Amino acid sequence: MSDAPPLELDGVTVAFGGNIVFTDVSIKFERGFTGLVGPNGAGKTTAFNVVSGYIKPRRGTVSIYGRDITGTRPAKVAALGVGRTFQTPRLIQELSVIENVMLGRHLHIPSNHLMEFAGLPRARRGERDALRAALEMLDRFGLADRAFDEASSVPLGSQKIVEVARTLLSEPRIVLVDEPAAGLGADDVAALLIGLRAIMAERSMCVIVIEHDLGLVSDLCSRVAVLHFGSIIADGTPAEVVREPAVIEAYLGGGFAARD
Amino acid sequence: MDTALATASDAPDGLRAIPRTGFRSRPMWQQVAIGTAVLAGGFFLYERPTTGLSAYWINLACLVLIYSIGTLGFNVAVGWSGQLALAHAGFYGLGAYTTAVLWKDHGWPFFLAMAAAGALAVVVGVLVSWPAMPLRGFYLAIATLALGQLFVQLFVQFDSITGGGSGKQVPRFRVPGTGRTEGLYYMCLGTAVVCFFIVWRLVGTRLGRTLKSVRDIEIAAQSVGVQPVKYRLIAFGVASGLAAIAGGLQSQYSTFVFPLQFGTALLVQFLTMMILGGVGSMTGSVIGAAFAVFVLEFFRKLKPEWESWQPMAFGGVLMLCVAALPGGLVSLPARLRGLRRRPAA
Repeated sequence: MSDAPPLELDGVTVAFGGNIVFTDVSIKFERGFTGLVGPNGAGKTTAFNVVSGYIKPRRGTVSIYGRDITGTRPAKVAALGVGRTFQTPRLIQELSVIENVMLGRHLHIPSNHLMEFAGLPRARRGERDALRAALEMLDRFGLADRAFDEASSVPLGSQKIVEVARTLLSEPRIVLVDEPAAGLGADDVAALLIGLRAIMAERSMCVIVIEHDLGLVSDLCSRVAVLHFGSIIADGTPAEVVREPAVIEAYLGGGFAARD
Repeated sequence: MDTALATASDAPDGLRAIPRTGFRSRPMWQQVAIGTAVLAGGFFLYERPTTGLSAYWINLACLVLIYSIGTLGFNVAVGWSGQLALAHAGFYGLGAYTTAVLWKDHGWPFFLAMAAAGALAVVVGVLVSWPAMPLRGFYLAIATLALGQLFVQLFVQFDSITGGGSGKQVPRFRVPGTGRTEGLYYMCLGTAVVCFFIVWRLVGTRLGRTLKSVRDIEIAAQSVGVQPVKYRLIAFGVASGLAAIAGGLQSQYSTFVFPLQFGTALLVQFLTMMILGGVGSMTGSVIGAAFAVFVLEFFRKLKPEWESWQPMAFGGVLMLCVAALPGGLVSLPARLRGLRRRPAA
């Protein structure tokens, strides 16, 4: 069991109606940062949706640490230690930033709603601990000073980071990060990377990052997998991958090859 | 970095800084004012012989309280969990009939009968909404609308219990040591205080933000382990229970229940009360109810020849409100402040 990879897709095929978007994909993900790149429509987000349970594959299996989770519902997958973010930030706009982050504690709250209704000490303590954890998490991303602002008042770039903070607060073993840097300014990206690396230094997670910014991917990830038309066409270190002719052909185009 | 860390270590203070929902989100003076108003209501009634408050106004206050409870329940389903659960009038009727039958025909103590009606509605609400859980938005609205109509039909069909289409007489419970009208008022006030307290505690804790997560960001909420179905069922159950309790009081108020009382007209009234007061607002539930009672009375009493226009008035107010003041009357002060500030900015 211990030698089973954190995340493994085996022969996964996904189709919407007659439209096959993901063809017989088999790949193992190890601990550390892995980049998942590919042109628009290559099936990157579909891969995330399959792993986190939002889409049921037509064929094939998804396993985490050797446990088959194919067809398991999203909330259950989350309980098994898979966290994810979304391309567009999804926050409860009318609540404060910190309440949004505290939502990430959902699986780790020691009390149930009846205890909270009664205001038992255990429930109060749980709420306080969640608050402290959320504040510390925001602090790692340089957002602690916005903690008590309404989520809608925070810039879109920061909202995406808040979402990453919420996901990490659920203490996932596997984290799927969908285009974290899209729409972020340089300062936001720097804050995001500092936070991600700091947390990675403490917890050994398997982090998969979908990202179009190849500079960021090669900076963060020791391994990159390239998806094209629903198939893995390259898998290796960033330096290896960008030299693959198929990758240059499919995704990077002549420009990147010339720059290299 | 230093200031941020200091904030983190002061977490207990931070806890107080979390914006509250409902009552606690108001400034202290408003909390005091609302509390005082409730107490004053009770006091003036107690001193009724000296203040000369007529039974007419006390009856209207009862109706406001009853509708407030019903609207509050509707708000839990629609405002907090985002489900357009249109069987609300049906559950209101279920509560009215259950209370009436248990209290009149089976001789249960009144409050026990009303509590039992609430509990029954919670169970029925959860059971019948379970199969509707895959439905969203428009489809959920249609399914629950049909359910509400089904309830009305059942009240007609089971005539050996409900008295059928001609309705059922309900004797009034006399609160010991009070007059007939004051007794009803105290009953409504006490029940409303309990119901509002319960909802205030529910939505003011983690449950409130989890319900909102299911309403606004269901998919993301699932990714941190929230089970939407569980929370939508909780909201449905609470909403149905509150509707039934309000219905139980209604059976006391009108001392008569008949199926058509709980039809589409009442549903439209609930929609108007909720939207006009403010979706997702506890205070809005009271304001909306007060407004609806005013409209009803205006047409019924002040201008009897206009009575047939009453449903149209609700519809018109609803449309105006959705177009001009989507946040409802509770958002009016903030809206006016915004208008005043705009020229300066």
